[in-house]
Amino acid sequence: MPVMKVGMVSDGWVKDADMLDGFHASQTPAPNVIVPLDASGILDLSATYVKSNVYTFRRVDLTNATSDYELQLGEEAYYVWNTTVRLSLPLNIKVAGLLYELIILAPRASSAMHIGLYPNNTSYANAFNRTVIYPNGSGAEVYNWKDTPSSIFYEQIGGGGMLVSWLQTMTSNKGEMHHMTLQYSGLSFSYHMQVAHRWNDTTTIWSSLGTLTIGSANGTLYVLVRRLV
Amino acid sequence: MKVWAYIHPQLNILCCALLPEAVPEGVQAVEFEVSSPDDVVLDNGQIRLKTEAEKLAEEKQKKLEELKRYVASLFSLTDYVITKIAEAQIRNDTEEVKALKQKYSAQLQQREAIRVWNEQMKQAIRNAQSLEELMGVVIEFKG
Repeated sequence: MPVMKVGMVSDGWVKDADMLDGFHASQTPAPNVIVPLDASGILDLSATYVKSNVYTFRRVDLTNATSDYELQLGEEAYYVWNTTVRLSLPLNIKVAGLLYELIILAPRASSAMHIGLYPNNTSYANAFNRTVIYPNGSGAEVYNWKDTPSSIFYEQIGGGGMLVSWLQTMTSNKGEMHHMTLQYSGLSFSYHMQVAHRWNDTTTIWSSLGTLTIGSANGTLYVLVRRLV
Repeated sequence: MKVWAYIHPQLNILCCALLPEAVPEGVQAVEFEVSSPDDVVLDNGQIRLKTEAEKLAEEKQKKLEELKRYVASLFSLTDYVITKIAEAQIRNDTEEVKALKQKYSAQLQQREAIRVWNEQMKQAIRNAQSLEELMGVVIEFKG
C-alpha cells in the first residue's frame, strides 16, 4: 500500500507533502514523477492536461539506430528518412511479436518512386505472391493484378501519398497487407490501392523487420512502426 | 547501394542481403554495387548483374503496363458515352445514335485524343535508348 510520507521540520513547515513512496507528483511528466488522475479519475494524457508532448515517452527514435531494437507492445518506433541523403532505411527492429503496423508518409513528387521492404534485410527471389486491387478513375471498375516480387512492394507510394501496412511475422504464416493512396502529380486523380503479400516459404524465421528502400530521392519521408501483438 | 548476393542454402533461391550481417553464417556471398537488389539475377547457376539492355527492356515493360492502366482509367471516365451509343445501335435507333454523338461530341473527341496520345507514348517508351531517357517519359495526359 503506498504511503504518503509527511515530515515536520524544526521551523514548523511540512516537508515534501506531495511525495508518495518517495516520488513527487506533477502534471509535467519527468523521470520518477507521478502524473495524477484527472477529476474524473482518468489518466488524461491529452496536451491540455499533461503539460508535455504526451507521445514522446511511448516513442523511440530509431532514425540513426545501428543495431536491432526489440520494440515492446504499445511502443512506437519513429524515423525521419531524408531520401536525398540515403535511399535505404534499415528499420533496426528485432522481430519479437506477431503483428506490426508500418505507416509511411511521403511528400508529393512529379513521378512514381517505388518503395520496397526487405524482411530480414534481404531480397528473396520471387518469394512473395502479391495481389493488387484498385478502383479506376471513375470508380466504375476495379483493376487487379498479381505477381511475384522479391520483397514487400509499396508500388509508387514514393511519389507521394500515405500508406498503412500490417506485417504478420509468424514463421508458418508470414505476410503483409496494406492500404495506400498515390498522389504524385503524374496522376490526374488520387489512387487508392489495396495490396496483399504472402511470403510463400513457411520455414524462414522473420527475425529482423527489414530495410526500406526507395528507387530515387523523394524528399523527407516519415515512418512509424508499432508492435501490435 | 551494396548488396551481398548468395544462394539460400535451404530454399535454393537467389537472395541479396542489404547488410553484410544479414548473410547467413557459413554462406559464400558475392558483393555488388547496385541501384536495386532486383538488379541481381541467377542465370544458369551463376549470380550476375543484369545488363543495361536487360534492365532497359524490363523497365520498358513496366512503363508500358503503367501506361495501359493509366489510359484505361482515363477512358473509364467517359465509358458511359460509349455504352449509351452502343445501346442505341443495338436498338437500330439511328436517330438516337446521331443525337448522342452530337451531345457527347466533346467526350468523343477527347477519347480520340487519348488514343493518339497513347500511341505516341508507347512509341516514346519503345524508342527510349537509356534508362535516363525512359525515366524522362512522364505519363500524364494534358488534353
